[in-house]
Amino acid sequence: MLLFLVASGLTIILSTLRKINFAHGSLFMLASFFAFEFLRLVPPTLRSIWLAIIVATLVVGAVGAFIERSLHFLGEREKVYEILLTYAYALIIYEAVHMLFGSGGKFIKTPSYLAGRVNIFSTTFPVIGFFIIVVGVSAYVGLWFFIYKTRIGLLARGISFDEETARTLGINTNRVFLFVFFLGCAVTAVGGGISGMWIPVTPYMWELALLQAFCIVIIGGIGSLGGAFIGSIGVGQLTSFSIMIEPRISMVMIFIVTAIVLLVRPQGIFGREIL
Amino acid sequence: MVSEEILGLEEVKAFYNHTEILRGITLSVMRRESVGLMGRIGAGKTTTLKSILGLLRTSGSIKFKGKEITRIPTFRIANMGIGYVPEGRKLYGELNVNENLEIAMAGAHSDKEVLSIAYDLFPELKDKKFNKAKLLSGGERQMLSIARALVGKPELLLMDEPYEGLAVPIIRRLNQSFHEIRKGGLTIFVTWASIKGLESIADRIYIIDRGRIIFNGGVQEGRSFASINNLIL
Repeated sequence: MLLFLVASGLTIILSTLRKINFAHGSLFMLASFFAFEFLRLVPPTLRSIWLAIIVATLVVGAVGAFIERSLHFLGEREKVYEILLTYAYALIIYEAVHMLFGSGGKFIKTPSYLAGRVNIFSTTFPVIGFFIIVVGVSAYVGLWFFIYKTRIGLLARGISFDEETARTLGINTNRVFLFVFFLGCAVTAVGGGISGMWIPVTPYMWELALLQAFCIVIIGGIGSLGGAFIGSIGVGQLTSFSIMIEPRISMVMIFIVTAIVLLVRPQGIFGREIL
Repeated sequence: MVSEEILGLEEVKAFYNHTEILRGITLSVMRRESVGLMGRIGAGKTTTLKSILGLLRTSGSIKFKGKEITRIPTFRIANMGIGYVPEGRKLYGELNVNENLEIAMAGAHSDKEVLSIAYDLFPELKDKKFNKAKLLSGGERQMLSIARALVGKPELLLMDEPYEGLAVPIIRRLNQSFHEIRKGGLTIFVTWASIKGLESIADRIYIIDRGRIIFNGGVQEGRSFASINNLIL
């Protein structure tokens, strides 16, 4: 479900704006560090993981908005410039975080009500794991509602098909782009903020997050939220299965499946052709 | 009864990258008129409409209701009161009829009552509200494209080859709608590839050739001009 939070943000941005954001994994990592440092630096009265996640989400969302504006500045140039620029942002964010916070892994302290374990059918599961699942499912429902039941979601869908026509209908497409990019980054940032309670927060987490997110989007289908949801479950299960057999092949297995999907059905399992 | 100028172009040049397509167009459309812009394929008809909407890099002066609009973003030009029915309709095929209209409503900040205006004008669309636009017939798609442009309650309607590829009965049906629309005081500026059919819509015409206006006058005079100058229209 953490993977879904990263992948869903990426798929919204890719399908609506047709923008490739290689800084997406870095935003996930940045949110984790922000949440960690917020909790470390604020007075005890403000030391709430939820406040930390909200602040991290707003800050990373704003960084995402900056990235979107700079991509807009690129205009109609070839896609390779987009990839290079966002990759540059990814490296800048990584280096900045590395310099400021070091490379050691850190954990965000889990609140006591999420720290225990529950017993289900004679097997114990961490409560935080269930919480992450709940957040992931809630994010899926929330994003689905946004895309299919709100006016701005309708505009985003329309613009994803034909932006020029949308402008001739009086739609300020720049504003919609900005909002969607902010939303995509904010969803990812929520995942980043929560992730510190589950996995160690390190500057290197951006690469794995980015690679896995792209694989999920490709496998599940570009532009398909449901595809990202199912894809993230599939990738998660494949990773767990591969680790059981041989930990070193887990990422390789994901890449092999991604390559097969690209060759056989490039739009992904649930996606539509990008014309 | 015509009155003041609603649309004025003066020495407008338009470019695709560095290629000059319009070479100094000057024309005007008066309020409540229906004016045709005719020309061969590649003459600059669509380019003229796109220039008015700010979709292309232009030089010269373009005024709408007396206000210069050459440096204004397209969405603002649309919200000033210009509706657009593009060539090829450019509908959102994966969205249904209602959603296509709702997008236009959102852009124009119109309220829901405009939907009933659209469905009253084209009752054929009412039964197909929840059908995807890509599943409509050619005539129905054109009706939806026109309805979508009208949802914003424009004062000026730009139409790019609105009857292209349509059967005669559909054209007659759309002509009826145009007369209804014009009764409401709407000004129309329509591009056409041939003289035939324009008599029923246009009060007068411009003829464009290779990016320049070469004729301005009545439809019949335009027909004679085209014939004398061997313009195949």
